[in-house]
Amino acid sequence: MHKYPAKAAVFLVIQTLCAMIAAFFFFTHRDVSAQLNTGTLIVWALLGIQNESLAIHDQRGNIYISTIEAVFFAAYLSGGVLAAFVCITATVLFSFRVQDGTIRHALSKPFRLTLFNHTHFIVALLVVDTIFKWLVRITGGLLVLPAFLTAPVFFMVSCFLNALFYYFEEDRDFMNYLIRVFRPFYMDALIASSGAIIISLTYPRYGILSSLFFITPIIMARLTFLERVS
Amino acid sequence: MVPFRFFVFSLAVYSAIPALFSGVVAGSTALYQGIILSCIQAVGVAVIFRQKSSRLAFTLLILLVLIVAGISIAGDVFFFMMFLMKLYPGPLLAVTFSLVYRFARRSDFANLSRGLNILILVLGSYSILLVLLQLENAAYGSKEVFGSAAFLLGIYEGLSYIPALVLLIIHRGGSEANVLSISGRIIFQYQDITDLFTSLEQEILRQYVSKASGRIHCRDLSRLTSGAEYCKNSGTCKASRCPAYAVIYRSINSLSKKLETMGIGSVVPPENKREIIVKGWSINQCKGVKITNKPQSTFFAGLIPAKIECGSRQPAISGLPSAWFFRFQRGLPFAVALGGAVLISAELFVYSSLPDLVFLFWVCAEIFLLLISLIFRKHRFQKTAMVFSFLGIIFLPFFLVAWIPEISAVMFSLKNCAVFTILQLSRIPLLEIDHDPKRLRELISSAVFWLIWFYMTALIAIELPIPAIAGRLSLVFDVLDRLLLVWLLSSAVVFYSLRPKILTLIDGELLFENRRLVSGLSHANKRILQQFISSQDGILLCRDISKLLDDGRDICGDDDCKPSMCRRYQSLYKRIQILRCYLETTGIGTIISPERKPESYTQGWRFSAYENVIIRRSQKTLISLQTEILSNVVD
Repeated sequence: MHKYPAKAAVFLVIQTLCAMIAAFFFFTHRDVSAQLNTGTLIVWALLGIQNESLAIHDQRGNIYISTIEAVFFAAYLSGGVLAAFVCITATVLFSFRVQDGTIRHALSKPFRLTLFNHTHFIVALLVVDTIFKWLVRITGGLLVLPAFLTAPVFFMVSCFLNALFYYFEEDRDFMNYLIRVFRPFYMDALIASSGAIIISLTYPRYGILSSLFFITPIIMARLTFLERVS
Repeated sequence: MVPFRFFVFSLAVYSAIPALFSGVVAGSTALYQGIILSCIQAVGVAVIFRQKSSRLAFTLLILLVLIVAGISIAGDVFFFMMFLMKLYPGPLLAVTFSLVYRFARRSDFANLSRGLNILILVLGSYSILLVLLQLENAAYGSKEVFGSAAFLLGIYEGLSYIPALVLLIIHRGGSEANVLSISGRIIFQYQDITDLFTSLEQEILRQYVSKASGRIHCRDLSRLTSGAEYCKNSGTCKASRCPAYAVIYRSINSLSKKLETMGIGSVVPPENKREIIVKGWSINQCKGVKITNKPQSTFFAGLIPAKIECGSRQPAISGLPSAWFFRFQRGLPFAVALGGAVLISAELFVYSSLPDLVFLFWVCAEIFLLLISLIFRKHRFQKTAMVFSFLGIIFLPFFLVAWIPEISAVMFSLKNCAVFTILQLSRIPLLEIDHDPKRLRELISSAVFWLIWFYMTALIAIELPIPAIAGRLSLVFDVLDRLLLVWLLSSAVVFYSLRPKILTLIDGELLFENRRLVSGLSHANKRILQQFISSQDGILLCRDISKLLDDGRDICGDDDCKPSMCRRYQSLYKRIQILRCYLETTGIGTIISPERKPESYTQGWRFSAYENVIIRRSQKTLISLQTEILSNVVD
């Protein structure tokens, strides 16, 4: 049997512990009851699932391209950490992809990958939440500017943790992988993440409908791309 | 082309009738609005009719929309005309793209498709957004809104982009590699390529598309080679002994090579060549290529330019732009930077009461940040300057949050981004950026789309606090916002469509895209090419070329020259063929022969650059060339 690298296992354990602490922090936060809007949670869960399910497979790097980090950040801005957490969990558990005629879902993937996917997003959410709140405090209650500055963090942390994981598990060159993943998509990911700000601006008037201002172009872009690829 | 006309007619009805209907439903005042809307839509459709031969129609449409938008600012009487401003940018841009499409060529189709995708995305998302907003009004708004004329108008507004979307989707379909054989003509990607083939090759292609079996048989073609008598006893036919087969075989080979060169496919014989008589040849089409004669594929054949010159590509009417054009192109980025800074500063001045010093700081910083990337354009700090400029332009408005609402800061930031992007897109044609253009294209591709989308959404969905002091000036800035958006979208579409290429003639050397061009040509052909490019009208007579090659001696003394009897003409004709092939392959242009070949003696051959090729010639070069010719004559 193939021996799993010990350092990768340690990394996964540490990351899982961090994610559990973060989840505990999210659920015990005093604002959590204010964020409990069932409709918002369901909508964001569904949007996350559809976004990840429509991810585009890039054969050159054998990676999936999606703007899921932007969706998580949008969920965070509109529904707080709870909505983002639910969105992440639902996305990881229920998203599926059709590849080579077979359906790939959470149960058909190796457990360690599902665990990594879930926990690294939670850790990234914790980092984003911390930075966002700190920025709101130092800017004297502004919302848009902190959101604008924090938006790229989700994508960057996600890339960083991915590179670290593959460095431990497959001994891949850390910087090389980081650049390979980050460079081609950073412009798309950063701008799409910044687009989540649209939600923070339109949410007061349009409520959960404001998510469509953000999701509509993503879906359109994805469908167009899929059509072009096919 | 009946289907095309029918489509455009349907488009006109679809576009105009609902506007009129909405106007009637809405009441007497909105009736005018409906009528005007219908007229504008109808004019837009008329432009599609006229685009084949005239750019004037397109210009007129833009002017019409601008005038009407201008009237809407004039007074309260025309206040309802504000609705017109929401007409941006769908139909206008669909027409823009149609024009760009007309001049696009095969090599640019990949970029063209990307540009079309951007438009489809923006318009599709925008339509959905508008309909959603109306549904939101219906769901959460007052009962007065629901079911009222405003609601109908809103729904119409959302749906009014459907014709534009349909148009764009069909255009994108047209960018696929279809080979059509229609009424004796062969069309590839909506360009007539019939003249590239001999009559026998054309017939082979026609036979191929007309047969359900998809195979070409020797006996079907032999009647064209006067070899029908050889096929009387087809049962005992031996291809190797048949003279008609030899002719067909050569044509098939030639056709195969041409199809391969154009990326259409290749003609394939059966595995066992002895079965060639029975099984015939088939065409192995390249991936994505369809060879067909289906009439519905001619849908947009009406967009083919009225006169196809020399078959393969559509050259520009004149490839030699005047000096003012270069000055305009060179000055455009500076005009964009200064104009954008002034307009945004003016808007800030109207909307807020900033202290004088802060406002002064803003104006200086705005102009500095926009100009810095232009100032350092040939400096090693260029990239640093661009990044500094980009970040500065985004975050500058947020320094004013002590005086203006945060949401206004976001809007100013978006405007700054739009101006910055237009600025950069306007610089690209000048090739002044040292970045790898392909990499730059990839970087900009998504960024432009998202920027357009955010700007559009912000204008529609975000309610900005407008101070009373702004008054009617807010309308002016509304119009400017929409114009800025249209400009941004147009720049993006042009950016994705035809990338200008520069052909430079300096000191007898031809540089294309900053690379030496004539290294693959013989000395004589090189001189002919230089003479073509340096001549003002691009026309050279047979006698001129002969003089050039014979060191100025005029051996064509007889005015009643018959080219078919002239050996010199035969030699020149071959040289022209080589040059034409060379120019077309490199994507510079083509050499157009007179309609009747013997007329080359009186009418000459004409060099024509492609639409996106800009020719730069230094005066020094022209003088040196003329001197060289004169000295040859004297010697």
